[in-house]
Amino acid sequence: MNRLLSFFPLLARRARKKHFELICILPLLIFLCVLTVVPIARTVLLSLEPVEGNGLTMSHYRELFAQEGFRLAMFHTVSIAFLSLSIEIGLGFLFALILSKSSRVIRFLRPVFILPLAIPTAVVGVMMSYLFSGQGWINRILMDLGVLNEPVYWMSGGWRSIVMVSLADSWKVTPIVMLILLSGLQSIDPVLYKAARIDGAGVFYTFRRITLPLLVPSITAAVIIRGVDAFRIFAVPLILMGQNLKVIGTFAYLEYQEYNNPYTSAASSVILLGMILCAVLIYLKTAGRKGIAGA
Amino acid sequence: MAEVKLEKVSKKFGELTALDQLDLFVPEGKFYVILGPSGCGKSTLLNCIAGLEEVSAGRVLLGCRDVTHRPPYRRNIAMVFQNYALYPHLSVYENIAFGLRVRKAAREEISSRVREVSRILDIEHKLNSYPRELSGGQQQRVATGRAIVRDPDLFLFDEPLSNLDAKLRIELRGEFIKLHQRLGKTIMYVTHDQVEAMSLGEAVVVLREGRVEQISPPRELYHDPGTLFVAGFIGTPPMNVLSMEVGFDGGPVLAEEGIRIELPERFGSGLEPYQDGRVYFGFRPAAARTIKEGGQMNGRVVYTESLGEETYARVDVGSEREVTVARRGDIPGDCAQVGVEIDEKRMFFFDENGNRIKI
Amino acid sequence: MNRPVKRTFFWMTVLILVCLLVFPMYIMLKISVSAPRDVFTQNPPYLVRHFTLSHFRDVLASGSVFFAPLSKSVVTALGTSVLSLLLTVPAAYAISRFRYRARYGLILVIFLTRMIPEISIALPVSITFIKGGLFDTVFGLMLAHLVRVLPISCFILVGVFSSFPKELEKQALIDGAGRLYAFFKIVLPLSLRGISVAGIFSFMFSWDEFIYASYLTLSKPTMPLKMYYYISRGNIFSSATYAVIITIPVLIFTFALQRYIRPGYLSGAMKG
Repeated sequence: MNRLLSFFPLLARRARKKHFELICILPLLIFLCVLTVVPIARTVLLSLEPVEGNGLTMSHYRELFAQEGFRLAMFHTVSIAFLSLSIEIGLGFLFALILSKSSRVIRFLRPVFILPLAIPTAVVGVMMSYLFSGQGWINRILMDLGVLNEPVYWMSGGWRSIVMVSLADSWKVTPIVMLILLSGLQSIDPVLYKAARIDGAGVFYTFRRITLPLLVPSITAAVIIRGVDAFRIFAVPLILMGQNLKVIGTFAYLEYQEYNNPYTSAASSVILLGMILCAVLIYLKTAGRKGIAGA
Repeated sequence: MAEVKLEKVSKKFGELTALDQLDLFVPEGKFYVILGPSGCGKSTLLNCIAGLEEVSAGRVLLGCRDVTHRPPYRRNIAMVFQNYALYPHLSVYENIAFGLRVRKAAREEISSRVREVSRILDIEHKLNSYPRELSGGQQQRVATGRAIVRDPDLFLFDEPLSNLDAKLRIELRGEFIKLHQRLGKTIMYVTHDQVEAMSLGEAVVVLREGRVEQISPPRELYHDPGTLFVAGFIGTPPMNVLSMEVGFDGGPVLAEEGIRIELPERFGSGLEPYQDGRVYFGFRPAAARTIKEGGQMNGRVVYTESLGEETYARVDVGSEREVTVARRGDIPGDCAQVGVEIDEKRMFFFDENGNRIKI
Repeated sequence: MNRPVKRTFFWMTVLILVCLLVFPMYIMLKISVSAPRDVFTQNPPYLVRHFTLSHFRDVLASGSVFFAPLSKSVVTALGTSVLSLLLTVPAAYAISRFRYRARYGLILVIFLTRMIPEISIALPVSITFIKGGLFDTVFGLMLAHLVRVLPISCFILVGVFSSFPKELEKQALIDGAGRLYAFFKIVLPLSLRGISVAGIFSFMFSWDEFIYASYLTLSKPTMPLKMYYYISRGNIFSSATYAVIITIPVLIFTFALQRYIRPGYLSGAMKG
């Protein structure tokens, strides 16, 4: 190795200079390679493998797109991702603005705003099933308040269930969005607000011209981190809806666990990966030109 | 065995050149101050000598050893940083003892040396405190103590006083000089404060954009600057510099848009090569004074400022050129017409590239 | 709007949000301590009317049916956090010492692994583990959990080490320490708080995990899986009780450490 390197004096010197760092970082990279890159490659191969014989085939993908269930799962995934992301960013912003106020009561309440983060996702599924079932607490409260006359069957599938899953997911992960945005808010120099006030700017003007632009990197980071997870949503829809409302994650899972079909399962998870990459690229190209580099 | 020699040392950070083929020699036991504006490469220079940064090209020699590729722990150097870099989780005693422990010194030896050093620096009573409990001056002393306890060949100081207030700075400046006298070790001291540089250094190295501009004893730096940059950088208020055209009208004459300065005959030979060209003409505020009338220039007083002993007048000598001149006696105040008399022995001339024209 | 109205409006918003955040947890806890007749009724009461600990007693009395998943979850989560720290502490330290471009690139690569749906990793990994004898073992599950834990841990730690004052480390090198000595004597002791935050996050992410566990276990489920089993059988009390038990440790962690869960830890790695 050393002799090989000595042919490239510059490279060899670089490597010698950084060998401590390289040794430190290598185990992690090897691990990630073995347990993510290799499995991904195998999933892609599996999705292209014919059930019998050799060679590659697109038949599993064709089969998937022919199924109405899969097309629906794609639609569900995208709509849940959009809906939950909008709720999370909106609420997360509200949370962050509230928590950035310096008040003793707010400081005391801080743990409450972080708490849902600590609840295991599967538990969130259980809780939400108590809330959203036909005789659940959401219906109960809304009817007691006189908002509803008859119960809404959230778990009956269709758009009601999409809304339910999005709300359930948002409940758990809004604190993460809040933390990311709060860190952005806290890094804004308070002198800027003072300067704006001296310049005669009102609350909304200050928010629009100072807070929001300076928060763009944090918002981008939050959208990407959360957006990716929104596409990967799994445990909440599985527990709440199971077979009745599939997203691609649960579709792939049920395809393998219930119908013992690893090929279509692999193909659908490859499609999910593709969707995530597309979504991230589209977002970075359009809205987040500044990218997470600035965050 | 601790002279420092840099041979054609360069340091690049990507596109940026911090040090540019720099040559420097610091003889053993000398106190050298590295002076320059921020971003001139002073700290990079120290880091390269210490081994914290690897040089991109050139050689670093300590004593007679080539240490270019040696890690810091094989150079036997001590360094004090601007923010002292005291280990916050260790007591003062452990901070000072850290270097000795790394070298696996015996327990008794560590104890006796830490105590001796802390006595010299007058921090004995603070040995069990933690850095956050100390005042700025005490923290500075601990950092210095940590440097001297190891008996290194060379001391590097990276702006060690710039975080302290003015009074403490002057006090500790004196202690650095005493310390150097006592230890007799080579010291390289980086600062951007010219007063500090002038008062501490046996020699001052002026650095500019990664190159050595001039190395001289402090007095010489002030009275005999080698370049326009040094002349402008050293001294408060700064030297007056005017760009003038050289002519000969009987004797040598400098002229520029209404200003006309007749120079003594003996300057003629030195300025002859620049006839009909331009030179920079410089004189220090303290080398000139305002008089009622006459002198080499005249103009209108814009304002005066008092710096304690001295009072300086800002004089508009025409064409929007202003010079600062020492004001002597009770001469009319603002807006008065005055003459400016410059000491002929303390005039400086620089060519277009900023190099000194010796006359 | 004048000031008092504004303030009332603000605190009303806070109150509503707090209720929304707390209510689901309250319902879960309520069911786990309510007698069946409080639950299986047309209009269940808002408060606990017939308090009982019998559901907890039942679960605890079920012996290994309860304790086996619990111990598997605890061991897996602890092992995962230890392994993740062993891998990410040195790596994050190294990354934080690279120049901007290299650091940014490496973080991006590690972040990219977060974009991969776990479902597409779980399947081939489970096939490999069946062949390699790691299927249905604690160690195998730890390895799988590391896939989701490592990027988070690395992210947090790069933030921690990047904010570590470089002068201190330089000073240690000047004082004659080698890189390793400086790391263990100076960097590590002063970064313990950040490292423990990374460890806690690792624990929580493993504790909470569902997909890999369901792919990689057959006879020995973890706590979340066991709970899913009860949900799918419609056993409302067992699932509520399991849910409460799973939630308790992470709740304690979060409360004890919420002062240290600084927003900065999440974005620190991304700062130039």
